[in-house]
Amino acid sequence: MINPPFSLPRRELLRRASTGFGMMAMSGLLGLEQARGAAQKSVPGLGLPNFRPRAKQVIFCYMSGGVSHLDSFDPKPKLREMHGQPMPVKVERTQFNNNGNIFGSPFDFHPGGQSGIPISDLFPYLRQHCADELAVIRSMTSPVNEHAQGNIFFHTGFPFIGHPSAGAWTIYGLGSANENLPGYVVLKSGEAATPHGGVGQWSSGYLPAQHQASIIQVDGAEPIRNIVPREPDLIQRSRLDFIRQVDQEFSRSNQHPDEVEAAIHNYETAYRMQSAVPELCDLRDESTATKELYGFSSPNVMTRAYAQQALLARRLVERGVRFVEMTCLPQTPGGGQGPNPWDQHGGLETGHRNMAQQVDQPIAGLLRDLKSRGLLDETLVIWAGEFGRTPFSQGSDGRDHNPFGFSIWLAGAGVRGGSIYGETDEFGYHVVDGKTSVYDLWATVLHLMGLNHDKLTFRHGGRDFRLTDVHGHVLHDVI
Amino acid sequence: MKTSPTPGNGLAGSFRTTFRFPAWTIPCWVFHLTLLGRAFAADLPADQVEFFESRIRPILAQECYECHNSRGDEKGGLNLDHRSAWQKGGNTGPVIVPGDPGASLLLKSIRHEEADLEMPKAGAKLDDRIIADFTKWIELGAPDPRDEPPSAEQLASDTDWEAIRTRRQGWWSFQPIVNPAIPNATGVTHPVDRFIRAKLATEGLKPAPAADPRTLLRRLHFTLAGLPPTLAETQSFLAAWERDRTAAVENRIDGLLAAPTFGERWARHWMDWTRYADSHGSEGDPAIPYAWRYRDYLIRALNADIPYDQLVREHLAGDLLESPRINESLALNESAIGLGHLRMVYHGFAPTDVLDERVRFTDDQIDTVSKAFLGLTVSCARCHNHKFDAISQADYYAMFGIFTSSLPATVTVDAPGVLEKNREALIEEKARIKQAVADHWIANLASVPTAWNPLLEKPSDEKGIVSFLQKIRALGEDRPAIARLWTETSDALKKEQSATEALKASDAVKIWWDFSDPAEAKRWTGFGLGLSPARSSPAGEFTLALDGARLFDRILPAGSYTHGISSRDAGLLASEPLLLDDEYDLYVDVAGDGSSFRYAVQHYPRSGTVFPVKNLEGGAWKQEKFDRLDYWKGDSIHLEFATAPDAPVLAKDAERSWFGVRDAILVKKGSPAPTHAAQEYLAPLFDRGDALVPQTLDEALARYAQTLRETILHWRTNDGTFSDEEALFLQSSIEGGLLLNSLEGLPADLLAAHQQYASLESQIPVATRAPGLHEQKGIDQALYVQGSHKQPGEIIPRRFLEAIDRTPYATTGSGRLEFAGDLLRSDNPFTARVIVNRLWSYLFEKGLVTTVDNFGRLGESPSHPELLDHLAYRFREEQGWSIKTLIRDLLLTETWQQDGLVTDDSESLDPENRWLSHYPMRRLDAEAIRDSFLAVSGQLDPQLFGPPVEGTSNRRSLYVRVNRNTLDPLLTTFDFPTPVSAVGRRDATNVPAQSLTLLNDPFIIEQAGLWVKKTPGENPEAMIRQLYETALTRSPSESELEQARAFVESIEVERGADQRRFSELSTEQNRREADLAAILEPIRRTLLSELRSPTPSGVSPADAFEPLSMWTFDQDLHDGRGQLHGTSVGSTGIVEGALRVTGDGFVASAPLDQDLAEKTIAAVVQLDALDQRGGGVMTVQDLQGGIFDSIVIGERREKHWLSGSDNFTRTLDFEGMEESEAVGTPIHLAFTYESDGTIRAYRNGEPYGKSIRKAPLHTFKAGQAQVLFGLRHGKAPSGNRTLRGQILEARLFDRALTPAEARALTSGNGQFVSEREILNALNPTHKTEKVRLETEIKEIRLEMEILRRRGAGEADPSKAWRDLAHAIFNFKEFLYLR
Repeated sequence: MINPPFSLPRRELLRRASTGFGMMAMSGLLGLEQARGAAQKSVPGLGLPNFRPRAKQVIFCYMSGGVSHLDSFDPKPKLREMHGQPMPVKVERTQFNNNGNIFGSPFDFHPGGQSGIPISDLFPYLRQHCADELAVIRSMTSPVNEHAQGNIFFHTGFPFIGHPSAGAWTIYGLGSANENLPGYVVLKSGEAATPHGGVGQWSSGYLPAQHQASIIQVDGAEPIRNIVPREPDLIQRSRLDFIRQVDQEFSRSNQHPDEVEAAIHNYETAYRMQSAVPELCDLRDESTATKELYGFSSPNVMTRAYAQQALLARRLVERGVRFVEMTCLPQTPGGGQGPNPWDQHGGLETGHRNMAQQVDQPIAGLLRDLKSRGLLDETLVIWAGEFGRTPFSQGSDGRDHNPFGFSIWLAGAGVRGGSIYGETDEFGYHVVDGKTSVYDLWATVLHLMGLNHDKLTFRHGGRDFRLTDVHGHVLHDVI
Repeated sequence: MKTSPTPGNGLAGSFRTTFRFPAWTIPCWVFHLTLLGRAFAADLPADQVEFFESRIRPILAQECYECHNSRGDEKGGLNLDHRSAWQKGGNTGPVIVPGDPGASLLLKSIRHEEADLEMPKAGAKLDDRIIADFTKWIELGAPDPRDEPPSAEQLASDTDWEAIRTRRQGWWSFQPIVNPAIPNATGVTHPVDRFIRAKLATEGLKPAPAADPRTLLRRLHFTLAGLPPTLAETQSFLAAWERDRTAAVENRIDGLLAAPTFGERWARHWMDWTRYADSHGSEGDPAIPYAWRYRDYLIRALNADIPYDQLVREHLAGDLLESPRINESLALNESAIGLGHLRMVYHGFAPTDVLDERVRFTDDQIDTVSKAFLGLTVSCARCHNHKFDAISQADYYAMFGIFTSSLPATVTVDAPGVLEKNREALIEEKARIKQAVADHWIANLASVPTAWNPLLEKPSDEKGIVSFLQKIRALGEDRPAIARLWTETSDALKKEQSATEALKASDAVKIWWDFSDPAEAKRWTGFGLGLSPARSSPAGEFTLALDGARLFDRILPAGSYTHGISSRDAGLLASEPLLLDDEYDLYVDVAGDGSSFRYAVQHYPRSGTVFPVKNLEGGAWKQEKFDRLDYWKGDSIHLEFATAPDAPVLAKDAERSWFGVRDAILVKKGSPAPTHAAQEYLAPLFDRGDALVPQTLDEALARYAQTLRETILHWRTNDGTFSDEEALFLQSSIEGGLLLNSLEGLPADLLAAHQQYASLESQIPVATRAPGLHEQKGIDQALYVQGSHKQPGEIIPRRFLEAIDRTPYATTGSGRLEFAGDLLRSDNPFTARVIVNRLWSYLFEKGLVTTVDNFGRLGESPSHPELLDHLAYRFREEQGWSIKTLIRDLLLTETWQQDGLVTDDSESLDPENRWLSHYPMRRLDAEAIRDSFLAVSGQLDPQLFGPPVEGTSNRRSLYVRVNRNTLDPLLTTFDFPTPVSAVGRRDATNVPAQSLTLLNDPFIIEQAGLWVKKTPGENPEAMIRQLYETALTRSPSESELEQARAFVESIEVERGADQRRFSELSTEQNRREADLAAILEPIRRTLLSELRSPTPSGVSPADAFEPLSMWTFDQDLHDGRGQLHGTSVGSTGIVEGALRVTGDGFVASAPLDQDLAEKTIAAVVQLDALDQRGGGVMTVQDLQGGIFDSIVIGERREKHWLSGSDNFTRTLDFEGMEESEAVGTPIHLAFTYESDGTIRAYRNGEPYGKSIRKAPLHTFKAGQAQVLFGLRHGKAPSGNRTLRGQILEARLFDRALTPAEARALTSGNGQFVSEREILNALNPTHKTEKVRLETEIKEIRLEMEILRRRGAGEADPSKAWRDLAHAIFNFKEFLYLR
């Protein structure tokens, strides 16, 4: 009758309840050590993983708007050769139907790391420092050609709201490893906006509500809605103690209904979250060197803002938060297009340069920091947008959406760093080898987390639903 | 409460993925082998073969073959499709041990005794009868005549759908509703109680005693009204209870059923079933126009207790009912509004695979309707026959055809006759006017040719006939040149016309829709009064100008028009569907104003990148071309023209609009344009047989005058032969001023007739709109093989579910009407059972069938099947489908009125309270929680109905906007459902976010404060009593009193220290401010007295304050001081030196070029109306439009100025006077924002109300913020944010002006001395003193700010009481219903 996370034995609950919020306040102020302690007191999901997991946490760098694979991780010299010529193959329906000629990438590619995987000049930090960590998948596809449904599909496996997001499925399957922090966190900073499609892409759908994402505005006065007490702590604790007294009497006179007991218990968690979240967002104890690594002193204000998310992502996984998603900011301050900042239908060169500059150093910094702390082995980092972009131009200098073949990469959790999987045709238009679906990606991610994607199900509306619907194969060649 | 995963969910256990057999089964293998010898088909006794064939083979085939077969699918290594295969066993051994059911894993698996091996996989357990058959079969030695794997034919017959369906129809919910005998039970008489008590007795349980009156009253109020009882209601109920318990309860039930709050409460339940939403979701999340009308319809219907069967009919076919339900008092066709839910689908944005989108949103309708009304998951049969229920894939596509045969639409829902007001009179008047005008023109023709001379002398920027005549005039006396011009123009015109004729006859034309042909126009679907009665008007139709100056608006060629009588009339014109089998261009000859047209692909109603919509403005004829249709080759489109408010999604809220269309032509891509000749209007001049070619201007004018006379006479005859050319000839003559069209100088009778027309027309009401469908010709849908819309298969006729009746509908319409009938037919057992179960579930926390939306195999079986049938039978046969009757009946049961106390027995025997031995406790739903805060605090605005409101409103929660992408955070925290599918049972989760919300949400804290302010209390005890009574419907006990008092006292102590320090600081601050004034004021006075001379002319004293930016709106939106020049968004205008905004536009400035923290915004404004709500005069906002400070009229209180801010973050009421003058005269408003967050308002220079301070100042960042005029905030005109009025000038300062400055800003008398002047006049000592005092004041303010953040501030002794009130809001007793 009550949520699994809070189904403590009643006696235990009552015993703990008697300690009062004064004690709670103490424990709430113990900082990271305390948080790590809490991390051991995990909040269970369905139980143990199906098999031994390689990844404990996921960080999802979502490149909303659709990054051009042709300008980042999938070099196509043919496009430069044929620049300005008409596409010699059939052109599929595009979103703007304003198709121009072949558009060679304005960016040069160079091999990175020992593996030598080619990365464009858009990502100098990743290329220089992290190439050997990246397992690039050049054969991703999506059935959706527009942002809102593309985003929702990428997150939930269905192109419209109402279904649980991958993060929610993960917490549902594995539980959360930190009682004081939400298990599934979406980070924002500065002007970062919710990608098209709305918060439904981060929802728990039909899964129990505690699995939905909590949005943390990293640099906000109130990082999580209603997390900041509106009064001095002393007064709040007085009120909490008073409420608890009354509630316990109510619960007792009604024979301790489970749901009431759980609701009473929730105040403890809420109270602890009030200090755990600000502590989490307080970056003062991070060294200058660490901050530099992430790009805190970048001349680009958007880079600095994204760097805060990246650093917070590390702090979250350190605290056992299972699924962290980072959100891009617009190209420039006040630049608009917040929900789809990578979406350069025109001005691709400038736009992509701005966007890459925003995320390159912070993500590279994150990978290096995770690695140096030994966290990369147990943390899977995913980098992806909802689709790629066309090899031909839109108008004179943009690219339209291309869901028929695009690139994403994985890093950490023992994936095959410095590898390339799959292949698009010579124009980078369609996949010709190793065709991969978003279902395959999630099947793989769940697999790395020790979950069997076709067994992670939830019965709803007369059907057993899965993150991978009726599809999905684990990409064993990548991991 | 559904909080834990349902059994069967989740990780199917552990690491095992294959069959696993206990070791002890192995020895049996030997026994098993011995049986093999006689297991050949030929050896089997006939009765065993017969048993296998009739009872076992069908089940194996239907339930097992799919995963265990010889065609490549052997899950777990097991194949069950022939004997030797299963004898081989699965991966780890045999599953059937002949003769030994106990050892046969197959049996354990179908009995669901083996975790992780429950079969059929992901399905419901097989019927007990079938399991018994299998047990018997194995006992018999598993006789199996299947020597070989099944052939294709054999398989087809084994898995025959008819047989499967027939078997599945054995499921309980498919059985007819019976009227079961009512069991005997001691001590109770009510049939429901007898059913419940009988079962309790069987289960060995005792019922709980009756609930006490306060508990019962609270339960009644939340159940029926969704609100707690008021103190007065409680008192009166308790008094009545003392007199007569039964009567008291009955009266209260009747009172609550009769109150309008009943409809509000239960409409919200209903809205869950039909996934009510105000927006479509996806990118842009566009509003569903008028969605709220459907919500209001539900409230009215439930309050009026409209029978459920009627409402079901209306939900499917309200637009098609022979005698619709008319609401006389509101003059509405209620029935037509019932369709609204069919439009509440989720829509994607600009999908390139648009057929996929159509399939998806049609599926959305099927899913919702089938779950809501039938409790069946028909949607599960989209790709294949239903996996568990007797629903075929064909059933799905039969329904698909029904729903996809209507167009998504905005419909008018006025009662018949309402919009037809004055129509006959207008038609008659118009005919009279036509005759009179023609006479008037003819009578004046004799004198006109000389009157034309001035026209011809005008500089030649004219068009049409005047231009042609001017060209002739320009040729002077050159007779050959004039003749040549005449002939060449004539020839060119004829050439153009013949080219078009040639094209018309050519292969290039796919379709030529000619709206001058009534037969052609009739083939189109036309809706709205504007297109009725004639969908095609002949040439010479005309419209009258109602602008008070002109006579005619225009004379029209033949075509379809919506504004023949009035431009208020609605109109929508839609073509038949058209498959784009090739690449085409589309040309449309069209005119209109405010309306729009488009081609819709696959019924997709939104606009988007590849879904162009053309807006019509100005009324001139033009030929519009769509040249990207090649993109949609292979898809089906239709053309759609719509007046402004009548488009399905892109509806605009305009009272007047119209369109007219002459033709629409589809030609092969790249063909020449099939245009009407450019100078068509000249044709009557040339088309005169052998008349001589004019060679002088006089001859030409004579020819024109003669043609004009004949054309007018022809027009007057109404003989049906009047041509388009003639109509355009007259129109061009009017436009060129060649024909009289001014009201001035009209004969009195004609003028009177025209005025009469205008007067009658002005009385036509504006239509009431609602989301709906337009019925079109029904089209049967092809089944999509495996659900792929790229693989259409067999055509499925529109019909009902084959389990009930598979007869195709004999209708040319969509079939919705027939479908509604089938939902209600007496042999359909679902509809009645589903609704009584739904109603039951809201009264008893869960349904008799707990899966209220699913009565299929994956749903739960009823706990009390006979009771369910009893209720369904009575509801349908005896209670006339009356929802109120059923609810009343159930509330009067002892079962409902029993206490919530759990007996020891029931806790152990029935922990889920399935047998209802006590009343189930539950948390209030989201709406009841939010509404309770408002009700208890006394803030609840009881207004019924209307457009949606924001979550910050004091209206009830069901009026809060349901935008799919941005659902209200407070409500969603408490499990408000995502509106995507029928939800008959809400979750009631327990998450920390709920505690955080209850603890820290400003809305809740504000309500607590307001509650305390409203609560009178002579002394603490009385106060506490009052608070407890109001919130909990009971008095506090003595110990609770003490507890609460102690709490308040402790808080007072804690808050007191802060407050004392704050008061000290406040005194200090005042003292220093007085000291400062003592220095400055004398100087100011001196300087003022020196200001004898008038200010230099043209310099307003206000300019002396050096605003950052200043807009005078003299001619444009230029910033006269800075760089914040404005841009118009939507429709605005500069009219006589003022910015005019009318509600559909606003002005936005360039981004700020510096940070702006402290500031003053000031504007001179005149309003169009005082009753407008929420319009912004001047705003500073971030570029996203989410954070803002604004001068707002009437947002929270009518006719009051408000410093608007994001979610009222910085807003409190100024409590200024009611605005009464701003319509007649401009007023000056200045809002100042000080560094500590204080906001002051000045109206015409005088302080407006009191200063406010709620939150710190917001800093707007350079480059990330802007100024708006005419919009409260945002990026587009929307809702109630736009202002109607004019802004005469505006200023922006980067500091908070002082009161003196604010006064001087408006005074215009020059009596102002600037701070700088004062500073310059100070002596050095005073200067030093001034700096010191200012520094100290600053420090004091800083400390006060810190204290303020901790809750100190206004010396408010009620703070501690607010803390108590806030605590009560957190009591579980407040949030849980017993």
